Amino acid sequence: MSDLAKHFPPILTKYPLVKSWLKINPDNTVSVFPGKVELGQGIRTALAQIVAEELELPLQQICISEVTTQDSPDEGYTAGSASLEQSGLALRLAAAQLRESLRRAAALRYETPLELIDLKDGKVWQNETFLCGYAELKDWLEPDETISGQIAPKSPNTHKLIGQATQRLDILAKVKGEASFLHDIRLPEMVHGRILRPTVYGAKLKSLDITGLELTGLIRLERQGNFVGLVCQEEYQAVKALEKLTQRATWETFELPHFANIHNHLRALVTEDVVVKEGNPEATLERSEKRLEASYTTPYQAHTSVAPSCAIALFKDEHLTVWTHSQGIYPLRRELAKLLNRPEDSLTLIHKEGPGCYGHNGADDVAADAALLALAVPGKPVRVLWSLEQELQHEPYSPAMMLDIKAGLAANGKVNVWDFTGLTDTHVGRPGGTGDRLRAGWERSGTQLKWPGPSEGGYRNAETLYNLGEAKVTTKFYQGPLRVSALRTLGAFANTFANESFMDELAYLAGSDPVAFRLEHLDDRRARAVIEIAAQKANWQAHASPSGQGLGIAFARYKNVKAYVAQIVKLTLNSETAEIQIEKVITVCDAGQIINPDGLKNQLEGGTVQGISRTLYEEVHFDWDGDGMHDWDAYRVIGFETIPEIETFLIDQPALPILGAGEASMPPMAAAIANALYDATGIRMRDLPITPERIKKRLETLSETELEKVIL
Amino acid sequence: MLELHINGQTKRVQAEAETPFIYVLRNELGLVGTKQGCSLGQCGACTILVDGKALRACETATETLSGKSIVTIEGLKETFLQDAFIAEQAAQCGYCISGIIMTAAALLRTNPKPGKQEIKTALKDNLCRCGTHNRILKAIEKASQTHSESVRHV
Ligand code: FES
Ligand code: FES
Repeated sequence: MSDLAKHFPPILTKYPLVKSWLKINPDNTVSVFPGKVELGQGIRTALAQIVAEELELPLQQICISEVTTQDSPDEGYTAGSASLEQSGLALRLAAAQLRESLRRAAALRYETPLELIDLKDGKVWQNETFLCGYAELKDWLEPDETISGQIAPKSPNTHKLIGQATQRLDILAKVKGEASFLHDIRLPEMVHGRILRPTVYGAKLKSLDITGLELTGLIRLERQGNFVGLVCQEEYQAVKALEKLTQRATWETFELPHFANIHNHLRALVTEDVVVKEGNPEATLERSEKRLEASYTTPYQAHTSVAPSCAIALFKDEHLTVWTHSQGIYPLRRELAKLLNRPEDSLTLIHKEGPGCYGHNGADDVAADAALLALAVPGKPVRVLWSLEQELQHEPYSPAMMLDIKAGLAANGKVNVWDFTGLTDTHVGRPGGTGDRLRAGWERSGTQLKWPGPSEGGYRNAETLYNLGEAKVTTKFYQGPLRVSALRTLGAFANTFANESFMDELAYLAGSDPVAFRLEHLDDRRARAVIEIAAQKANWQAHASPSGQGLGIAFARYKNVKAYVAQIVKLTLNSETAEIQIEKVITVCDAGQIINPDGLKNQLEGGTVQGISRTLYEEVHFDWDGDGMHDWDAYRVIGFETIPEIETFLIDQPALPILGAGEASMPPMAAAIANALYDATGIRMRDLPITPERIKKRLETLSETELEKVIL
Repeated sequence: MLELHINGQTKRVQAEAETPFIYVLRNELGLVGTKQGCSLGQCGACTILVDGKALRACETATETLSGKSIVTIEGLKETFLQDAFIAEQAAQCGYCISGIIMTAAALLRTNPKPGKQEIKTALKDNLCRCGTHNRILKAIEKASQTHSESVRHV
């Protein structure tokens, strides 16, 4: 049995038949039915490469089907950098099975020994003689062939497509401005919906007086509890109608904690502890030669797709069809069925691409909005688009986190004890079938969203790969005032910021170089390799003293089981404005076997840029009455003007399993920047985002000995 | 009824005079290549060319466009820009790309060989949330180089 077949993907137990995944079409193309959706990460291209490789087909003969609840396997959410590892392997095994079935079928049909049958360029050959196309073997194939996992996929040294930089299947349509997105779909008789929502955070509808209100083009004003939506003939009529309706509404506001010291407030709300790693640090700490402790914080942050969420729904003949850019059409279908109190099979969900979402944003909520309005206007497709303000205020955020670490150094300068305590809200509030996870649901019923409770996302990468002696890792969960859910990497971003900043602080305490110090605490060969290569590419020099320009390193293996990434940042600080100018980022990644190196680089670069943006700019901020998040001025993100040069290096491991890498470059970014800032200036920043105001404030609080080291 | 000159054709549109042009484009004319992002003039997704200059379709009342020459991504002549975006694989979700290509086209019309910094400045009001910036910059740089060279050789 091959190594790959040993990791039999669980999804194949649920969908064991080849035909659930692959279909040979009469024109010799092959249709592929993945359950994972395109989020801009290039998954469709990578899956096409995998199937084409195993089936010896030219890439152009692969058609990746759209993901729907009619035809696609239920692969849950497309999240967590799992698509290539799991679906990629499932499809690879399915395609390997089909390849062998085709050979057997040809042997049968042409009464030829199996060894003489070859597949090449999408055709069947006996020795060098052409026999037929794949489609002609249809009647000789077992219709219900199961995927055994026993057929070995092709060996990496025979790969022609896997490992090659491959052009994205979707790019031509996108640069030409074709209708690539859900937002672009125009169905016959389509009408336009908009939803009335408060313009400050968390407010509840108090009154809505519509006497004498005239709304041009209005087809329906739908009110169910506090859920209020309208449907108009034309889109701009709906926009205007919503403006008028909003003027007639009054709201009961909800007092928020002061965001200036939000973390202190959140600390008081802790309800549950999860011990991630048991340990007994106290005694060892006592005995340590040197001790250090520090606290780090990260703010609430938002997904803020480049465009707000959209959905279309059509209710016709007792059947509801919803076009959505949700990350999981099956879980969303279960949720909608529960919410609407309708049988699941009376709902069809069709995935269409949206703007990049980076996690659980407004996509699922708006699908419920469209569904409710479609039920009120049967027979017409209703398209609902949120406003940017609605997206900024009503999407679930990533929770603010606090990370407290204590550690000690032994006489040999190595860490002998480590005590990590994280504080976070949950990171998963996705819909899945409980019926209470979508905004329209709790507006309708007047209930509150139930707190989903602790989940793995909070302590993702709270543990590290380092040997840290007596180590204890605890994560405490608070139930905070804002709605939260999954944002790219979940807790790994904050946890890694703290861990990798603190490793740096300890390196200085030990009088050691940050690169050397990390290597001294690492056995994992692949982890060491990404760090060493990054240091070499960056011309890493053992640390001198602050010079105004700095280099900072950070490392993480995403989820401690996925891709390895080391990053080095080179930056300067403008001593007048206190603005950080990142000059260069070097990323080195080992993601096991690489399917599409160009696609992988694209993902890693994207994660790097978002990581910079989250480190330097992004912060959800409200006034006490919930005012504050209305447009792009309120939520600053990185723009073209401050984009640094990014160099990305890949270590290909063709003989090893694929390691998910879609998120892997984001976690180390924050610490790499903070560490480079320290190297440049001697200023240690422990709170994100690292804004000029925070740097200036930090300078004011430095002790005299700390100030002596500062260079500006 | 308004008469508009768009992508070299004359079109009559029904929409009310003050309707932001983005709705006319995407709904009435079926030209969905111009993307709708913030609808507030902040993200650049809806950029079109009007008399050769970059304009935000979400902020432009339809009536102000009568008598002017409008170009959307569907009618863009500078296809070498699109070729360069493909060559550089400069897209992740790709939602921002149409507006960015239009902004770049406007830049190249006044400055055929911009430096990297000039390209960055021209794109300062175009958002890309996927982090595709460097590939986008490279695509525009390459497009301008190859194009200005090919123009010289003619
Ligand atoms: S949609 Fe026009 S600038 Fe954002
Ligand atoms: S590629 Fe997704 S916003 Fe630019």
